[in-house]
Amino acid sequence: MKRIIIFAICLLALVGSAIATPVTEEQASSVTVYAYDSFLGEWGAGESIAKAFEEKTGIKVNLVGCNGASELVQRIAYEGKDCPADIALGISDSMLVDTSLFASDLDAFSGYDIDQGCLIPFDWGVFAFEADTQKIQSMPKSLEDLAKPEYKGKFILIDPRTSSVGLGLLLWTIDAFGPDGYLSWWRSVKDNALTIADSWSSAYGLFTEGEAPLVITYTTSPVYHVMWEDTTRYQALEFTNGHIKTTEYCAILKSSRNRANAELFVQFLLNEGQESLAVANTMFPVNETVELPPAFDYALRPSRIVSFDRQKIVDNLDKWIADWEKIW
Amino acid sequence: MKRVESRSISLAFIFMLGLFIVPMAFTLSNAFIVDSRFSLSALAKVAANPYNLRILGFSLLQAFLSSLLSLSLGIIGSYVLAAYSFRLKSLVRVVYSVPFVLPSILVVLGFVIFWGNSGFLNSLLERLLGTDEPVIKVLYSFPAILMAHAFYNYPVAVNIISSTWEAMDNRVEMAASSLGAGRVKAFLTVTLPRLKASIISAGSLIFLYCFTSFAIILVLGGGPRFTTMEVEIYRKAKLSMDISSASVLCLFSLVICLLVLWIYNRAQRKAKMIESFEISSQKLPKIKKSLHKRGLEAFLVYSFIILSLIYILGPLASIFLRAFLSSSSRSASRILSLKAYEKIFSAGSASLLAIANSSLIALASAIMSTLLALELCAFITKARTAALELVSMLPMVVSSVMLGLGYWMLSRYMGFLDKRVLIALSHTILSLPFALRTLLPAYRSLPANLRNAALTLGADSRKAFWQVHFPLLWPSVLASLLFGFAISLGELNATLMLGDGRLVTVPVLLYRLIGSYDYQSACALGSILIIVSLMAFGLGELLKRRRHA
Repeated sequence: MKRIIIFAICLLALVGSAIATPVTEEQASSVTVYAYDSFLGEWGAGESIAKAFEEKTGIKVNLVGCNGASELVQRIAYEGKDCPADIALGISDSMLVDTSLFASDLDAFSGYDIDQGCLIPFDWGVFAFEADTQKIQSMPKSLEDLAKPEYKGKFILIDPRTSSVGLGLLLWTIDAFGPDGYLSWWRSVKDNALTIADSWSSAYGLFTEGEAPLVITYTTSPVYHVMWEDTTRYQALEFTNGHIKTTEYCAILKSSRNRANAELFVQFLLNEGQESLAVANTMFPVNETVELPPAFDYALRPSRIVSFDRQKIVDNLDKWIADWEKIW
Repeated sequence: MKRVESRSISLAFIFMLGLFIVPMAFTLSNAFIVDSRFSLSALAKVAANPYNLRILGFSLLQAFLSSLLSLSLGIIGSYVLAAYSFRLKSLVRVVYSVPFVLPSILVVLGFVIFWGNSGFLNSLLERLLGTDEPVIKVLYSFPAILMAHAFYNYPVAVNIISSTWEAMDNRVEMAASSLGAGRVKAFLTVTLPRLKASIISAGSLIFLYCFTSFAIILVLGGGPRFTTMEVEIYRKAKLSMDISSASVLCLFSLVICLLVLWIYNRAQRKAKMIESFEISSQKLPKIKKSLHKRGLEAFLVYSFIILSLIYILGPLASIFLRAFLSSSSRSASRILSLKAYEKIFSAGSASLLAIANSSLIALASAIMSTLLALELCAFITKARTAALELVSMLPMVVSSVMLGLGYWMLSRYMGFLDKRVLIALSHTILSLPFALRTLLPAYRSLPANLRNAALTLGADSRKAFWQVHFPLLWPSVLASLLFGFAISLGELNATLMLGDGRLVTVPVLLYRLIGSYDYQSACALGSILIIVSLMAFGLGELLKRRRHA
């Protein structure tokens, strides 16, 4: 009896959701994009870019959200040859990906700085500390300054094990102090930091709630506050150590059945799509001819920007983090 | 009769198998696969690393201390609710239930806004005491972890323990005191043993919940000094892309937690059957002390109620208030505004759609998990082995990262179902442990002879259940429904995985708002979540009263 009830409930749930969105039919001319979730939805750049692309070319875009960037890559690897995606969008440079999944014959994109023969960059950012100028007057000028007693409890770091921004900070310290010296910097600040947050969202939440006047984030973070809150109280700080660059990539799958459409979409992303991508992600576009909103003038443009050697990351990351874990 | 039961078992079993065991087994089998061949080397490597053993130790320690604190507070709270009658008691009970639905990222934010160095509490104290330095510096330390976990799990403890306590016949205590036992002695020797089963039940749930805690530990604890297994699994799976090691770690925590659960289970089985439900036809009205007279007792009880309300309401009210505060323009001071609400309701009907989706899914999964748990109860109380009971607790222990992968598997093969149905089914599995832990102690104390009597008198087994057992189980059934509703309402990971990033629920929207810097709107949406759950728990309270009346 109860069994019947359960089934009745299941059935009810089914009927209740009969208003469901119909399954999108594969169209003759289409392209399927796997992206991280923030590319979709009302705040992402995805929907508007897809719409503009459809209007221009008549090719239907299927956007599929895969939660985070690493789920995206895992999903492609799991699905293998059956993977319906043509494009993977949102791979970051600190991620270790299996490059054999992606197409490497990319003559159409020869003008771009292709990474590992298959990753096409679409936007980039630079890591920096940001200050709440209403809460702090004397700014640190270098990573070393943060170890000083005057900054005790004044800054928030992010865990490199759980966040790409945290990982960026770790790489920044390795670039600044070398693989033999970075741990001594972390040792010198570990009791000075207010907390080491799990994600950029938590860290930035603590920062804007006034828990600490300094946080590790991007040089472009002040842009958002100018654009949406009309305030310049948050400013990114230039450090004497130089700054680390991070790039976001997309890639065309080797197994893509719509290769020509995929190339068209990536081209669109690198031209018409650049401005909305930059604004939605608060990052810099790779295409330098794109005109940005004036709020981007508030982004810090440090004089020394370094790109971390990708091969070094692939070879050493696990060891660097394992050593880092031991100091706590 | 026997045939009916074996059929219902097979249903429950198929449900568990299809929705949990098969997808998880597939994901976890990665623990034994190195370079696409079977191998135990990943297992050996992880076990040999002392760092992994250290974080396993810490995960267990913090979970143990957190459950101890939540249980102590929960027992006091349940006592106050069961023994005294006072004004607005139902409201207090409803408020106690709310924290449980909040996604952890919002709890972190609420704690920071209330307890933080520049939070509401410190601002108030600084003004009162005339200092510039924060007065209470409790965040970013180990105690902060315990405080946040107790905030989260106090509702679990109160709900489970008080639903048993209030159904208990307190004439036994009266008999004890008329025989000369003092109140403390009567509590320790008469009341506590009868509560043991539900305390153990609540304890095991809270333990598992804290064991897999993630954001609360890292952010409020202050950093990598406090690392749990979940963090390490996250790193291995998401940053190192090392699914094999992640699976090994996940298996490790599974085994350890199964061991802990097995110990709990034995304790619970020993503790059962101390008292059966009251079967007297002339049910005496329960005698509760009223708190109208003054005195030390009233003072203590009221102090506890007020302090616990501040503890629960502080962070909740902070979220509420923060939603109305925006610092527009360059001026430092925040002004009251409706900006956030305008924003979330103006962007199409995304928020309304999210609320509709969440409520529909939550309702369906609450009902399904409660019915499924009732089925399982019937089997578990008869079965000789604890295997099924243990297995049904597993969804709580499996890392949400691994569960996400498993569910993604599921969506591949069950893609023909509507996404909302799939999500409701996954939420059913996720809330099953709660439903089971809530119902099982009550089910175990059902007198079997009552049902047999009903059957002898000509009722069929269906009638016997609905007319004899169900009325006795009602408070626990209601508690289980509400837990199921709350869990589904606050669930994020499975929803994201199964929804392809397209299906919007309240937590998904909240997560996106926080991801796009907008804490004010996140707090506004969080307030809506709080209100919806207040209404759900309030409705539960009303139903319960009507039933009693």
